[in-house]
Amino acid sequence: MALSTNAHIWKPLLVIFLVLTGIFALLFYFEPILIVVVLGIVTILMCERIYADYRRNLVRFRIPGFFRRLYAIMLILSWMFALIFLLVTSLQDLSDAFLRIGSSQEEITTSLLSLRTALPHIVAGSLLTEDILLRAQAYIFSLFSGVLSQITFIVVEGFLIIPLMVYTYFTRKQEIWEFMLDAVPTRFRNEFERAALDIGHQLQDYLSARTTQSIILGSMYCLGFYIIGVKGWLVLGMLAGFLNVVPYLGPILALVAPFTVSLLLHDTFAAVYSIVVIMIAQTTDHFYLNTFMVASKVKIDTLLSIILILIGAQLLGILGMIFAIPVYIIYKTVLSESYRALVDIYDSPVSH
Amino acid sequence: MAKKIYWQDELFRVAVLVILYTLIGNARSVEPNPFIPGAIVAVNMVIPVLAGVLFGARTGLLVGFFGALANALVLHTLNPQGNPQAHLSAEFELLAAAPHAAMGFLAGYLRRWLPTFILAGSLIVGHVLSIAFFLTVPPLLGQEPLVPFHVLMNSNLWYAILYETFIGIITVTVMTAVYRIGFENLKK
Repeated sequence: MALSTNAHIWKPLLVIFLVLTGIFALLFYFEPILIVVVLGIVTILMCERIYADYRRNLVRFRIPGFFRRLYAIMLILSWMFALIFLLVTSLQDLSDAFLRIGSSQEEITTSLLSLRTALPHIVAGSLLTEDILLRAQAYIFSLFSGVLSQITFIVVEGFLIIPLMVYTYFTRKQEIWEFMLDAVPTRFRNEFERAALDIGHQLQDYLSARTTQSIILGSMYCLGFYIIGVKGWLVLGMLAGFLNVVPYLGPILALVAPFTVSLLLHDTFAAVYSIVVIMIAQTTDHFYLNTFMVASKVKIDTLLSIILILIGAQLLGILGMIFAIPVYIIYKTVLSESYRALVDIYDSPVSH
Repeated sequence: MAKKIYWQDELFRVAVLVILYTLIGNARSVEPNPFIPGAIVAVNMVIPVLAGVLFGARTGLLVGFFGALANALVLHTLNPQGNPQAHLSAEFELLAAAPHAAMGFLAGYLRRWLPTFILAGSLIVGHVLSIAFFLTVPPLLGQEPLVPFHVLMNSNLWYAILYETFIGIITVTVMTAVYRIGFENLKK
């Protein structure tokens, strides 16, 4: 269908586009809060899924009314205990490893420089000189301290905001939806409802697919690192799974921690095989998970998705790469619904 | 209506799980059991239970039996001839084939009626049956029992079994949830 040439349609569309861009600019300005809100949405989706499984199990095991709460409490407590136990043992393992590497920056520098003796002379002499290694180490330390402070801020905010988000969603979801609908003028209510539901479904599908993909990859990484003997395999595997949300760069970022930790512990077997683990997981992701999960749920052309991710990377770095597709989904849905509504108003036979 | 399982799918699952059993049994991150010096926490025992919980009694039985046999073969062939510890482990693993098969079968048989964290308790059945086999089968073949009788009186043995079962229950519960969130979601 040919696009309209009516200026009355394109002017409001331009305004809508600018308003959307302003909203996103503001959201990305408050980056930590945006990350916390997105994590809250992911938590809500997981809670919905867990609650649906819980309801299904109540019917399946025919648990009588009195024992249902007990079953729920036992499930929650046992999961919390299991996660704390696993994480504490893994963190302890990792901290022991770091103590062995060195408790000060000087000791870590010494460990890093000692690696050059294990490299071929031509590599150590030209590619990985002492100067390059020291600069890389200084850069990694400054990056690490910056990321650590941001993560601390996000974790603190997350503890405040995410439980409130989950509580509000499950207790007042319908009330909030009706309030939003009432605020929209009556003549645009149908289009707004359609657009909001469409955005909601597409984003839910996208987030579910990416979350599931990260969980599967994270579990593969954990298993692989456990088998090859990477210290702190659980924490590093979960981190690698989480970093998979970064398109294209995710696997490389995922490799950095286990590879570096293993090398600094002079465990070349684990360092080399961590690359093999990442490659096996990424092959599974590329040929199976992406094909059957993400591509089927997210109906975006591959070339377009690459371009969007590159634009996101240019504008906002890693955060831009992560949010490129969801932002595109929102823009596309809002602008196409607005265009349709404006065409009905200004270009329909009745309006003439 | 029950979903039709193709034998090729089941063969593939059993093969993958047997390989996983062997890899996890020989993993470099295996922790020592704090209650028995020289013993390890046999995390690979969760694989037959997992197979039973997720795919049914037959898969659990096959994975338990062939997994233990495969691991015994690996321990016997890939370890140096002069390593008595490896060969002893291979003997333990060989005798544990039937108990692990029973453990996987039990988990699979009861999966329709019990939640996962209770099904994971079939690990205790596996441990108890394994000890029974270590005590009774070697004398039938004219050898000394792999586990002396007096060890049964040592409370450390039972603490060690409880500790392994505890780790195993956590592992089965987490891995089952991860599989259900991840791979079963792929089929939707």
